[in-house]
Amino acid sequence: MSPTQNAWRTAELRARGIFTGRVLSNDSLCPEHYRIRIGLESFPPTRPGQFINIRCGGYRGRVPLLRRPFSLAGRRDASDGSVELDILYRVVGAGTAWLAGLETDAQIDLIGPLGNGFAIREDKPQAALVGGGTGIGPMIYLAEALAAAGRAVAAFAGARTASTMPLIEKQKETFAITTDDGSMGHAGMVHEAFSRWLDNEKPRPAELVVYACGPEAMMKAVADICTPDGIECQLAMERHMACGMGTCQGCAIKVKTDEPPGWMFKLVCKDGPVFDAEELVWE
Amino acid sequence: MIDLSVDIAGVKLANPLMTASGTCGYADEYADFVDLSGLGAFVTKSITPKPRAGNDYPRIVETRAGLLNAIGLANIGLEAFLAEKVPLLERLGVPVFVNVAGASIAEYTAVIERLDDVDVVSGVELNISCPNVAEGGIQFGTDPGQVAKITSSARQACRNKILIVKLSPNVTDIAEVARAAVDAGADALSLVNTFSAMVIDIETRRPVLANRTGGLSGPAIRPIAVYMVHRVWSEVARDASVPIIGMGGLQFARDAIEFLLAGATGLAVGTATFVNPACLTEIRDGIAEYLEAHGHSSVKEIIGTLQMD
Ligand SMILES: Cc1cc2nc3c(=O)[nH]c(=O)nc-3n(C[C@H](O)[C@H](O)[C@H](O)COP(=O)(O)OP(=O)(O)OC[C@H]3O[C@@H](n4cnc5c(N)ncnc54)[C@H](O)[C@@H]3O)c2cc1C
Ligand SMILES: Cc1cc2nc3c(=O)[nH]c(=O)nc-3n(C[C@H](O)[C@H](O)[C@H](O)COP(=O)(O)O)c2cc1C
Ligand code: FES
Repeated sequence: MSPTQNAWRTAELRARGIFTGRVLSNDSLCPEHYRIRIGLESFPPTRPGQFINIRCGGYRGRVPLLRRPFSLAGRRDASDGSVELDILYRVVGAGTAWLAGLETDAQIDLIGPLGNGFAIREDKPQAALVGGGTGIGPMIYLAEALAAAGRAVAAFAGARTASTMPLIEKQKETFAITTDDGSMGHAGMVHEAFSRWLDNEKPRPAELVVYACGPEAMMKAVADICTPDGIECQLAMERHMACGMGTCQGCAIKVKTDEPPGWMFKLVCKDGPVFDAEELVWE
Repeated sequence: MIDLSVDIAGVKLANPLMTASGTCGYADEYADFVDLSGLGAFVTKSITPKPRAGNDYPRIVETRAGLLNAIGLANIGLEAFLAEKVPLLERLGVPVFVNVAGASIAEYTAVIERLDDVDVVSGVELNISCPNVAEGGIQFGTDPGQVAKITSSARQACRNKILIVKLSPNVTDIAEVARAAVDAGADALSLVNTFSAMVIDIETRRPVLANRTGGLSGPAIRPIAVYMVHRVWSEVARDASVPIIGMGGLQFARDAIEFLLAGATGLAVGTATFVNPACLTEIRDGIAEYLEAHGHSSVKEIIGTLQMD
């Protein structure tokens, strides 16, 4: 189905809908990660950082009940209007196991595009990207979009060990790689590599924007590096979601406000998943 | 042409399908996914006098066939609702029922009095069954004496709109509370709200939800909800001519038919809309197909026609 054309739709809602796609390929990238390419006859405009909600198993498979959210890891548009979307995912449970079993040409029911996505800054010529584990997916899409927009990009990707690094060969040229055990790239944590780059390159804070996606502890570490120096830092947050469309209020996240008690809840699916690091209240 | 129209205490609905409170936002949140003008009615998220931030995260946890939520009635509050959402509701083109909650009877009646003058509102749904807040909500809904008291206060505040009382399933005998609501002046009953439930994280040995407990919804509760609708219908509603809005785990048209046979006149869908917002109109169309296949010309012909022998 294409998005319904309700005349009275509020302007702030961008085009989104329920779509049926087709699996173009579904490959194992490493023992932990898969990349699925989904073909669609058409799809609304998207930004890196946005996500789609996939019905894993569908009604016939019965489990699981709810859709599963996945960030876009790439997009290609063909001249006939058809669209290819990439998702990079890790098998952690029933839904992602079902996804991993999908064969080429299988149908896939998805809702999207959802969420706000990363903002590309006109006034900031330098971007730094920090991706950890499965969070590398949206960074691949963002690196492409930033390069297309003519920004200088320094990109960092981290994984526990070489065999869990989800980058394919040609992407390894874009990213400086770290692994916790040093089995690929530099040994250490990805935020440390980013921090060293900051110390060496000394980009001007006002001209730099930092984007991060990965485990919450990694994003917190990146935020702690950026915010004291006034460097803009956009983080893609995760929360368990029931709807992904802003209706269930399940994906609450605390953000700062000027009014008492000094914080309020926002919704990761609707107001995020990308938040300014300055805005977040870390628990 | 199959006639799907139903009448909820004088409010004419083009078909029985409506949104379940708290699952479809305040107005047009699902407009991209489903033509909301094809619904029988729209039911809003619970509104309280003041905005409520709601409970801490985690607020939701999925089970094998359901969902626990402990949102804690997070909502924008009455004033923002009137200023921002009512104009959107006016453009929906379907009857609107506003769900109302509060921490005291005075809070409920304060909201109802304001809504009573709002043209687009056809009815007020009294949420006396939220299991996820410390005060108000369910404490009013489990004791028949309390149900009678709050219903009659709401009845006095609600002069121009129909009054729907939303029942909690967390009671020994739901027919007893249904009777208390009807005797105190409810025009319609809606049931069921969610079942108090808990999921435990076996590694931390703590409840998963920050609120510790939550309300279970979705397919897991459907057979209990169907049973409760039938019990309220046969014990109270049929003789009192009070329509029932049935809900709990509705997902497909066949589920809707069960509720209709059990005695529901209206049907609300919550959790299933998270998976497929378009299921609201798909269920509507599936009901028409069922009626046609079984030689009926109107949905009213099957309401409460469950054969018990
Ligand atoms: C905005 C957003 C974007 C995401 N993008 C990606 C992505 O690009 N690639 C990817 O592999 N994963 C992504 N995730 C996480 C992914 O949604 C979960 O891994 C997936 O839902 C697990 O489903 P399951 O049925 O396989 O596992 P389940 O059996 O449901 O759970 C297995 C484990 O995953 C955790 N989990 C379940 N649901 C979520 C959730 N919504 N968020 C975080 N953890 C969860 C559970 O707590 C549990 O530890 C994203 C999550 C969000 C909220
Ligand atoms: C996330 C969520 C939020 C809800 N919020 C409300 C609410 O604000 N007021 C209310 O009366 N019921 C609320 N409910 C209960 C539903 O309206 C409905 O009674 C219940 O979920 C059973 O229907 P279902 O199985 O189709 O979801 C909520 C349910 C869910 C899942
Ligand atoms: S997941 Fe439902 S509001 Fe965000």
